[in-house]
Amino acid sequence: MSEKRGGDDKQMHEPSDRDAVMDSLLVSLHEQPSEREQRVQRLLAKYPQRGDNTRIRTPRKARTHSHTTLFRERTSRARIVLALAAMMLVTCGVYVSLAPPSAQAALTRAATVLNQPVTRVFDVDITTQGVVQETRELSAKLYRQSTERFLLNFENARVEPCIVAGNPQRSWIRFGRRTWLSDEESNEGFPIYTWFDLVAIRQLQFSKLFDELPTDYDLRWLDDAMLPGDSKRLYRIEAVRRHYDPSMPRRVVVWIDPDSDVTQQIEVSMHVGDFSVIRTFVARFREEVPLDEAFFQLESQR
Amino acid sequence: MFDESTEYVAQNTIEAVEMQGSDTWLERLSALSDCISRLPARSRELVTARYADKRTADELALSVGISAEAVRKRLQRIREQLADCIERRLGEATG
Repeated sequence: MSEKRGGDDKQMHEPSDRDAVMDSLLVSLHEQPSEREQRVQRLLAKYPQRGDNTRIRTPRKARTHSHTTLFRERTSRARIVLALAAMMLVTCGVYVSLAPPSAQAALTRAATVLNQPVTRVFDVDITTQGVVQETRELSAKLYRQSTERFLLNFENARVEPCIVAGNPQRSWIRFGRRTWLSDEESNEGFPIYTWFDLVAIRQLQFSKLFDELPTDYDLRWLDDAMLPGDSKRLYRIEAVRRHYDPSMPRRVVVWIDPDSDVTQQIEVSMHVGDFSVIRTFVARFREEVPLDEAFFQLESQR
Repeated sequence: MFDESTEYVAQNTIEAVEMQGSDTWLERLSALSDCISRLPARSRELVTARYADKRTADELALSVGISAEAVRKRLQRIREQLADCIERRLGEATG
């Protein structure tokens, strides 16, 4: 029914921008949370699984990042080959005691878990720290489909409602145009701090981030850390970038459950503004809610 | 297939604030809620029937006893009133 409203008026009258805005506001005001969920899921289902970068308008920084990433991936492969060769030499010629569990091994196991083809919705709490004082705590829902796609729906961010999605190319997508205007805006409409959040969200394409951490970051780890308000002992892996790159996180902290290898929290510190400022984004995965698997099948058949 | 009219609503929802200046979406929603409460009872009922009860213009036309076209025009006028009201309220808020 709700879908009929805008379309109905659209057929009979070509609505003015002002009227369309009011119609949208009224729809949004009366929209139930479940309807909003459905709308998000429709958007997710609508997006093609493969080749979904064909309709992306990628911001300048994201484009730069993509090229950098390509280069980094090639470099990364070369490093992996070299590392493997070095490991073979070491194992053949040198006595090696049983290695203690390492941060890299924990990350690899966590990435394996994350690579499982699941379709899930996570409740995510987002807190930001840094120079900007947020007037309200951010929260969002992360929709993850298979291993490659995710969609994050802000629930109370300044961008409201804003739906962003990541894809295998690590570029990010947004549906619609800018929803917030400010003097600080950049990247084709997003204010710098929102853009930062989107960059941080892109890092939530976990397995790719985890692949990069051992190669480009110095890793420190604790095997008995605890998150505030939680008594369970977790792996806490802190990754600090070796070489300055404003397009990449300066620091990443990953919390992993050692029993299940499931990631519990990710903290990302990024450079913002003139790159001398660092802002932190924390995503804690409170709950994992299985989606109705039939939903995507139904949507794809419609 | 994605429902085109749903996309229309979703796109408008997302793009709406862009056309409206620097007020946040939430501020507008808040003002709208207040403006609806100040509407005449008949207009308020029509808005409720249309947006909360999700009845179509054709359904409303049957219950009100006017044509569907007249319902749409009436709703359009109400939306104009609400838009004026929101702009006044946000103007007052910003001084």
